[in-house]
Amino acid sequence: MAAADSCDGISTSGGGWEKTVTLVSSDDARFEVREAAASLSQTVRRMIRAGGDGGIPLPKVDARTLSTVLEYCNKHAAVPAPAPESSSAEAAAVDLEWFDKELMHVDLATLCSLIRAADYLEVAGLLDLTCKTVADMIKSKTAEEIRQMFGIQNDFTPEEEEQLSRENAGVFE
Amino acid sequence: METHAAMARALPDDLLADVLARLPLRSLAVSQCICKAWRALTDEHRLLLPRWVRSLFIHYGDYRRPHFFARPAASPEDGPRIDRKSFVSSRDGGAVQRHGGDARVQPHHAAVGAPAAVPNRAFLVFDPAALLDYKVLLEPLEPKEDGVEEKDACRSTEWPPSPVGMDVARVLVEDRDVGGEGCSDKRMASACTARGIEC
Repeated sequence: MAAADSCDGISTSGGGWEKTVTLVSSDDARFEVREAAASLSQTVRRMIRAGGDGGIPLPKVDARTLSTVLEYCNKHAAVPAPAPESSSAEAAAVDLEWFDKELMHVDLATLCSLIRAADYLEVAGLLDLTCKTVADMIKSKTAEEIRQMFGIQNDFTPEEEEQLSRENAGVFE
Repeated sequence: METHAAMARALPDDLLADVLARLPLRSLAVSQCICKAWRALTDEHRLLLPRWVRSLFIHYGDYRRPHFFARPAASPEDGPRIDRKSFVSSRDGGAVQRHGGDARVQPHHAAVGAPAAVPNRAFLVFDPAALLDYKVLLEPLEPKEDGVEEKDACRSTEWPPSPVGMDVARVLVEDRDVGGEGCSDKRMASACTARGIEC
């Protein structure tokens, strides 16, 4: 019982005693995470409070997506409370921004999985980051490019299309 | 292509709306043209001025004359007109009228019936896609003393909006309980001024 318990794993990493929890993905992969990091997910935080043995099941998130989510949580939970106007806090913020940017260098399918996972797990920062990233991908594209990107069929009738182009004169130029 | 299609379907509506809500208005207008589902989504989540609202009438608290904004029309007869006392939108839609913080949709279609209140917290935003053709009409003034008339003379020019700075053209009518009337008036005024309505 002791090793597999969801809430009483102990690790000594980082030079101190840190509580860890075990998260279980939809495809049964187990991730042992510091509780502070896992708690960035409001969903997980509630489940930790509710208690339970054998790890926290997350049936809506697969292992690949969960590992990215946890990468985000680990990084963001490690950042100390900002001490305003200190140069190290500034450096940490820049580092975090760079980390986020790197994390978002994935394809659209992965981004969509991350959006769904961040929504289900209620990781507000990650949801914001992923939505913003997809919005940025859409931003500079034409309607046809966006359709290709998402694999969407144009289902407007020719009449509707004519109406659209009249109303939107100037947009596609 | 098939996997892409599956992927697009896999992003639930509210999350897709979350993404679209982060787009600048111009891109949002493009996203309305992707397919019917996306258009319904932007309407449903009130990301832009609902398409059935053809025009918007704004009475700034600190300006003497109200402004009337209208979507472009297919033909001059369909278009918005303005007469001495009333603002008339095109035949198939309503105009949003705003008086003393009370925003109401004023339908001009006989079948639509009585004015409907604008829902709380609704964002009434111009469709920037159509903005190139927007006309801003100014209410004709009652003849006043000479000095006043002259002071306002520069406002009476009909103004073809410039495409420059379109992103700041977010003209909102906010729920009066949220920002307070004065506040929303100021925000509208600044949005319009930034685009050069005032000379």
